[in-house]
Amino acid sequence: MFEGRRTVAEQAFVSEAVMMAQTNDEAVESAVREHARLIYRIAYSVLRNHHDAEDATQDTFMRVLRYRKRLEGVQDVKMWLARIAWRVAVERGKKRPEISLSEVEMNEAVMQLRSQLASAEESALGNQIAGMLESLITALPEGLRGAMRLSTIAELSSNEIAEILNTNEASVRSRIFRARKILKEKLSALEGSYGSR
Amino acid sequence: MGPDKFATSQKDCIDRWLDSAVVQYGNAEPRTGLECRILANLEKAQCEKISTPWWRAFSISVPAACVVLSIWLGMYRPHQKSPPVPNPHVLGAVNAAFPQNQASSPGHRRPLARRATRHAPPRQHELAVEPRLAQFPSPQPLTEQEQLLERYVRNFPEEARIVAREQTEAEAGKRLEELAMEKSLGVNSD
Repeated sequence: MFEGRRTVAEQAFVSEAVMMAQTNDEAVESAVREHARLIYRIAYSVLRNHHDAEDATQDTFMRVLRYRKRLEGVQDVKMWLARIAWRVAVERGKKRPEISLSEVEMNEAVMQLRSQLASAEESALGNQIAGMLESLITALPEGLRGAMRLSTIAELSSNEIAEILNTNEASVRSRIFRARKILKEKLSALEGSYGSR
Repeated sequence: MGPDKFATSQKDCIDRWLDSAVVQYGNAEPRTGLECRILANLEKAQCEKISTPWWRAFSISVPAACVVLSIWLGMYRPHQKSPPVPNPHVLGAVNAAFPQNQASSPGHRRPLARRATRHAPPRQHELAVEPRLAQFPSPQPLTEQEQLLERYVRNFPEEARIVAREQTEAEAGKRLEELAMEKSLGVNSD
């Protein structure tokens, strides 16, 4: 009698555990399917390299798998993942050497910028201009840099950026405004200085 | 067009250019099949995690058990009270002088000798590690007097036996006298 009860209880316990594990796995899988692209973009905004960004995305989901039990209690999965991805990318970014443009590359970038400004048409960013923009953003003060990088991701609102950076929305808006102001000043200075040569 | 107007239009130009550049800058597309690759890697990691616990458990528990055992042995061995080990040199000399003692107690010598041989190497090690001796008499080299005694016993066994017997008898007589004295004192005091 007791044996029978125990067997039934064990079976119920095992089936519950299996169900829980399945639920957790399904939650992780759906998180990957829904948010992998956003995670990748967050990582790419920091690392500016496709391979590194993909590795960081992988790393983020590995961490999610490790703490998947917590995933059940998370209300906003997108933001939870975004915060993890941001931390992972920043950690990886610290180990990476900074990108710096050579004089020739900078010259070419400024020439392209001038032609694009003169044509007043929206044209694709070349590698040189993207590199120049990256070096300008990297040169920003640390507080402004993070907000500026995250603001380039279309899926993230300023409220969400604030959540990722653990600050308030007003601060994020202010940081983005200041960062853009600095960038504009530097761009106009670059354009002027290289144009006068 | 005045210089102010030109500067303003240039600023607007840069502003617009920056807007579009920032959008393009952040618009990074991953290689196709990113989700599948991630899911495959996650599955692989999970399979590895499930399939490894037996050897991982062994790899952790066996060295841990060894470490605990060695610590336990190291901690408790010096505290064990080992029986006093007579100096083998003296013991050998005495046994050579008094063979009847061996005959009277044949089972006594063997364990002592065995114990001495069993404990000899660790005791030497302990001596090397710590100067404090755990038991008495210590297995130190023979003193000058002991060496003289050993030589005497070896060269003149008969005399040595007689001397030892007389000494034993004298000690026994002395002990009897002491007992008799104590008895008489006890009676007087009562």
